Amino acid sequence: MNAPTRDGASAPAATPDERLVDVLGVQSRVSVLGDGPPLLYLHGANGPGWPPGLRALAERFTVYQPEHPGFGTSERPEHVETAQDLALHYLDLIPSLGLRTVCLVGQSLGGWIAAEMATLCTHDLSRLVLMGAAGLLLPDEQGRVDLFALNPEKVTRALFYDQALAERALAVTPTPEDIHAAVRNRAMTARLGWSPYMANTALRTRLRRIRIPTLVVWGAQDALMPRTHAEAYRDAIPGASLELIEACGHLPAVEQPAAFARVVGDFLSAPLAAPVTAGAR
Amino acid sequence: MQVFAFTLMPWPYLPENYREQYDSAWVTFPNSHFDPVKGHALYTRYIDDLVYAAEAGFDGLGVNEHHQTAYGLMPSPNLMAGMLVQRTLGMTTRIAILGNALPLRDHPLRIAEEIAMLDVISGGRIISGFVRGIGAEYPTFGLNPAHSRERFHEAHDLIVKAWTQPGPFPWVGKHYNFRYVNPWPRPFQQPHPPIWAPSQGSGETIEWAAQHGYTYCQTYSPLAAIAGFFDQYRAVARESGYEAGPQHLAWSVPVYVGRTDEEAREQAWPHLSLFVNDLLRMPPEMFLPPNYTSEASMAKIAAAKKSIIGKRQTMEDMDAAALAIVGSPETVLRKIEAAHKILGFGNLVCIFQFGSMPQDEARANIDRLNEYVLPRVREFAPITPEPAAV
Repeated sequence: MNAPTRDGASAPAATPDERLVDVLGVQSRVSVLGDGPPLLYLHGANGPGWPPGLRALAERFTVYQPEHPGFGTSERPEHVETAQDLALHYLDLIPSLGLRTVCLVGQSLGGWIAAEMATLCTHDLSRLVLMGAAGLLLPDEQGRVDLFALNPEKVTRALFYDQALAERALAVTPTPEDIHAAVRNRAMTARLGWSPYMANTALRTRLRRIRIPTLVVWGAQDALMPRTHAEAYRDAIPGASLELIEACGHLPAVEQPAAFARVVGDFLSAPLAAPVTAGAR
Repeated sequence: MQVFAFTLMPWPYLPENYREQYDSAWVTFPNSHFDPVKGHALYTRYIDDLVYAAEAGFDGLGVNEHHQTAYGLMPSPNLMAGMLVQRTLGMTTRIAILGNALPLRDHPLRIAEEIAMLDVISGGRIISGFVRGIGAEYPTFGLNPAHSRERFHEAHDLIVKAWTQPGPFPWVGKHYNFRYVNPWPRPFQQPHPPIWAPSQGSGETIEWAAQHGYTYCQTYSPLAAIAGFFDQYRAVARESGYEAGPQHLAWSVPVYVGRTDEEAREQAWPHLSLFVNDLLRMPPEMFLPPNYTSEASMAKIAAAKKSIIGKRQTMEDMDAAALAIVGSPETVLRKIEAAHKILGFGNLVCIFQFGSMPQDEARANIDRLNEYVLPRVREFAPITPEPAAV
């Protein structure tokens, strides 16, 4: 499902290059757009797409966007049950794409997978951006939005700070293919994140293993992923910093595309100040 | 025909603002609405009424399992069965557990042990139903519905093996692993207690039950849909090399017998309405969480249950679809006989108390069922033998 743009049609209508990549026997659908250093973008629970912020980023990077196994029309191998299984899959995807080192950007569910990847191995990762990332479970979360209990309309409303964007998204009549994809996306998300709710309880401690520059980006008004999660990621990853995007809900690339592209693009392009060392803040 | 008496043991005291304030009596309906003093009186009464039905001559009593809901107060069916076993000692009454929700348990051997205990203590009167639990059960224990079916099958295979193969033996599975499977006691009935598969009409469950020769017990659904479900069972049985008989099929349905049709409807309707329109109410996201069932059978269940879950029911709706059997003794008998002709079931599970039905009406219902209905039912459908496992 393509999210609506804030200002209609500003982005150039470049067509992504679609590839089918064999990753240790799993056929992975990868959509590629742009020019520049390689950037691996992991999409959220709503499935892949090219919102304006991501297109803007593709003006500075070659963005590789795989569709998660089990999503859309992608196969779900029996062994893929957890976010960590997907993290291993994507660590294996990088060499399968013929790449050596990539910037890694993950949104929401994709942010969780990205965080898992970076705790496992950073040999092929240069920098990490976690955006509205799932993956952590914090104490006292009573009242947090339960994706699996809400009807689709309420989920859509919870995604946006600007409810006009929610209205626009809800006004779109989905095609049968959209509906089929939405059902599979939801089922796969629930398979990964039903319990513990969208989290791996071992992840928080493991985040200290991440030794690459990391930026946490969060919509300041994100109603789906509480700000406390942004702070928990920032505090647990050595040297990580947190950048809040104002007037923005769960999807910065949709709701504040210019700010998203600038904040993420500048972080990924900036020269390294100093190597990250253990315990650095 | 074996006739069972069953109540869900509902919590009838919903607050006045229930419909406006809450979207369901399940999962999120606050347990501050449960009053333990009223609860004590309710449990006492419900158990007494079941025993009353046993003494009246019903062939069996039913108990079941639901969690975190005012819909039914039996999170542990085996506890209930234990009490009923003791209250019916010396009688032939069967105790049907309709059923234990296998996937919800991390220790299926506990079920093997408890059912064996009940079977031995009751002298072989236990019917062991196995269910997956409805979708709304899955938030309760944080169990991922994606694993529901494989845990169901693995737990079933383990339990039956524990009952039938000499122990100790090891169990190596995906969800369960044990170095020593050797439960004491072993069940009284040989090779094991009859197994029932209660379901709301899942194609996979029907197929599984028929392949094993287990009694498939249909929970309340429109008559037309049930006919299709039972046909599927018979077809799979034939493919599996045997002819399904009435003993393989059970129908669970609210039944209320009044003196006249008018009186029966008038008395039953407020309680039926509470049961179907309030206690069973839940949003579709809760009823069918993602991965609870295959895409194909999701569509089928949604079609069959739409009328129950989707919109408010009237007495006429329920009557027309045979979602409840309500009327004078003659009417109830005629409807059961007509349904029996279409469906060919050999087990009738009468939900004799539902919603807010008070004790006097529930007992009058038992009395009339016993006096007018049971004898005639046994004439047109004699008691059938237990199915042999395939």
